Amino acid sequence: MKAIKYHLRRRWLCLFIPLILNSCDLFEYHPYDTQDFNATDVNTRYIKEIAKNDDSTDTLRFVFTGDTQRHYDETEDLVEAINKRNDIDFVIHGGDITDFGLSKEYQWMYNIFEKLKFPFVTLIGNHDVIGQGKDIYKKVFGDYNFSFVSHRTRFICLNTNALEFDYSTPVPDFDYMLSFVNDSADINNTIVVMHVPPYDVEFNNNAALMFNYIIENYKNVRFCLHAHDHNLKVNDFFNNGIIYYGCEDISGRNYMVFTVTPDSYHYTVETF
Amino acid sequence: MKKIISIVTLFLFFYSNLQAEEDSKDKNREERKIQKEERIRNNWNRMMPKQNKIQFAGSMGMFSGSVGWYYGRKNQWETDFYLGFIPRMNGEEGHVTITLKETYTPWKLKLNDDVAFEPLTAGIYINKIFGEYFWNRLPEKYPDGYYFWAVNTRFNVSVGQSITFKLNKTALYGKELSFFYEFSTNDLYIISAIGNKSISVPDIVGLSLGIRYRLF
Repeated sequence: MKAIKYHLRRRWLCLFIPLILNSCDLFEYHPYDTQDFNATDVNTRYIKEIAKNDDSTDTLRFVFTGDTQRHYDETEDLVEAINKRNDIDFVIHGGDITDFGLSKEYQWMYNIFEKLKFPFVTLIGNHDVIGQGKDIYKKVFGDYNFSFVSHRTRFICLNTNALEFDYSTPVPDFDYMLSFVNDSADINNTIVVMHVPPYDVEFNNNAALMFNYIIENYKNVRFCLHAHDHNLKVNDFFNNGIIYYGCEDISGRNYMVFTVTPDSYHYTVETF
Repeated sequence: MKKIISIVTLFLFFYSNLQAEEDSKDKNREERKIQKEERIRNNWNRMMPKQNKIQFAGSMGMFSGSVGWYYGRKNQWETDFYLGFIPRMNGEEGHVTITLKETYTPWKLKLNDDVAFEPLTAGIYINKIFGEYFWNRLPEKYPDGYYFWAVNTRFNVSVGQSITFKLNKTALYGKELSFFYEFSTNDLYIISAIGNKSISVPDIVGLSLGIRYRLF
């Protein structure tokens, strides 16, 4: 009898100890808590990888997607679909990885995108800012504005979620934007990426013309990309030939593939 | 002279009588006042919190403390008002939260005279967090209906179990002491899980541990 009790107790312990060890994540102080993510500075890490993989050939091909918030199943399928390809250099997520800016949402989405076999960079969307979301973004992905070079093309990724911030955070950040006007890097093209397009209610529209003025001064701007509208959009907002392409949200089960060569570029909308 | 004396006596008699009447009136009044006071005291006493809880985690702070009441035919209902604290950590500011929680405990299984097991505790609670970025009403800068949820308010549900020890035989003052655990989730997690096969129940629940102390 004693032996049985002993074993029973031991079995209980065996059940219990892993439960306690695994449950550290289970103890949540608040949904907007900035948990300890095992991943930090994800954008920086992948930008390094993009630079490493850059063979400087003439053809640049990348995937553009966005607004994956709260569509985890579709996003998993997206990652699976992209992973079947062999022809792309990297993936750009145009922002709104979360709907509520919750810590868990960041974690769930990151866990899915981490399965991509290509490098991916993620912009900040207006939903990602909510609550303490912006701090989680900063911790997990890095700075709100960032840039990288691939195939002699400068990608400038900008935080344009002006409505979410006050004047202590410049949105769009002109100083940052101006730093690329006389780009010292060896580049031939520029592509500007943002979450919110100009003249959206979320954009700082008082700054739209200045925003455009700086972009016009970049070296050979091919086009601009944005998410946020949840529909495929093609706009020439400033009637200057700089086209803004907007991607559909992930519930439409499609993503955009841009192919850029020195002479031309084209895009396709791939469904999955 | 005699007349005067008799008048004075009469007056004194009446006066003392009047005084006595007034005295008894005062006495009545005093009694009524005491009774009324007693009644008011009793009413307030009935509202006196009868239990305290200390809880770890549960999406309402790192530690939360409550004052609460229990009631119902079998004391199966509890209402608790919590104050919670999230300390400064991970480079984040600390926060204060308040929580109103209703708990229902349908069964109480007596293991022996001093120990009882409550196989199910079910609760709902509303939590509010205070802080710069946590608003209740959509700030004026946004167009109507831009975001549909109140960032500072979470609606939570919980299920758990507890074990209760009677204190009347121990040195510890009070009625009983319980230890409980709970699994909980909130409205936004449930919304996130709906329509996503990849988000399962373990993804959206959190665990919390607590102690309940009933004074009387």
